[in-house]
Amino acid sequence: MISIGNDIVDLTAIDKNRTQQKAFYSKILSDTEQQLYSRSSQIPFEIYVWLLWSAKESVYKFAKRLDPELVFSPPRIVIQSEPIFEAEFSKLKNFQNDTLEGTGFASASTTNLEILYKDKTYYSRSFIFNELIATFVGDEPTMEKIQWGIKKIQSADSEFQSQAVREFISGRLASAFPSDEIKITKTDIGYPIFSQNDQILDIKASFAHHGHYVAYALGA
Amino acid sequence: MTRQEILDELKKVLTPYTADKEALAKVDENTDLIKDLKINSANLVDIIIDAESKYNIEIDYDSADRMTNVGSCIDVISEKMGQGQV
Repeated sequence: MISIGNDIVDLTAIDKNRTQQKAFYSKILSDTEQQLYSRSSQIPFEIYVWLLWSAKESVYKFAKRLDPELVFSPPRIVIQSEPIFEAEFSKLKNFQNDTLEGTGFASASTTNLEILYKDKTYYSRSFIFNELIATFVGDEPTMEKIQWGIKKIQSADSEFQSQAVREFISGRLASAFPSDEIKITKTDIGYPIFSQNDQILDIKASFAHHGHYVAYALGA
Repeated sequence: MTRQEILDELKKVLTPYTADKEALAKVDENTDLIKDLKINSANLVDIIIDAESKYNIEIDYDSADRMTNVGSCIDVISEKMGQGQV
């Protein structure tokens, strides 16, 4: 795995009215993506906007690791396909149990997209609940090796979020790397580096936080 | 408007989106919106929209892409206000 990306949107922290204004969503969606919505209007428009935002941000994070000079430009990251929603999408579920983790997405109810950015195709899997959208991106259609987690946290403070996502992923890594403590640092461009006894581990990961939610994506 | 005047107004635009008021008080042209002010990327579009309405300007994609730190925000705002580089 050469890179990985993820993003989370706390839907309780976004401004739904503002999201529905053209001045706002036209900064995120291309004209084609705006037209795509009318044909897939099973979901509220603000959820559609933030679903695409989270896919675009995740792709950007994937690509930025390989090209540190990249700047984030949402309308230039292009959703290729109409989102494939679950049949009963009209009934969004609540995020229960405060924590959701898994490996791959074969048994998960996700919304899936294909995304084109700088001549490369990316694949996304998004969990959509009443409270949040969590998206995970890879460059292979199967994505079966991606380990992921979503967690509700108690404070939206940025230091707390940062600490919480580190503890969350450390719990997941403890079973694979049981012997010593794993240190997590960040590079200048912001992606995490893992080391154990001063050895850099071959782990690609991406962290995301927004409001009262954090998420990680992890691949060896 | 001078760069300093734009900076003073820009601080007001940024205020609702950062919890780090100490960092905001110490803002200079090199301050990064995400790394230094801890602004969540989900709020970047809000900041662009707020700047558009505050200065009565329109910020296109190319310009929006550049608005990653305070200095580049001031560049874009002053360009769009028709003054070029101050």
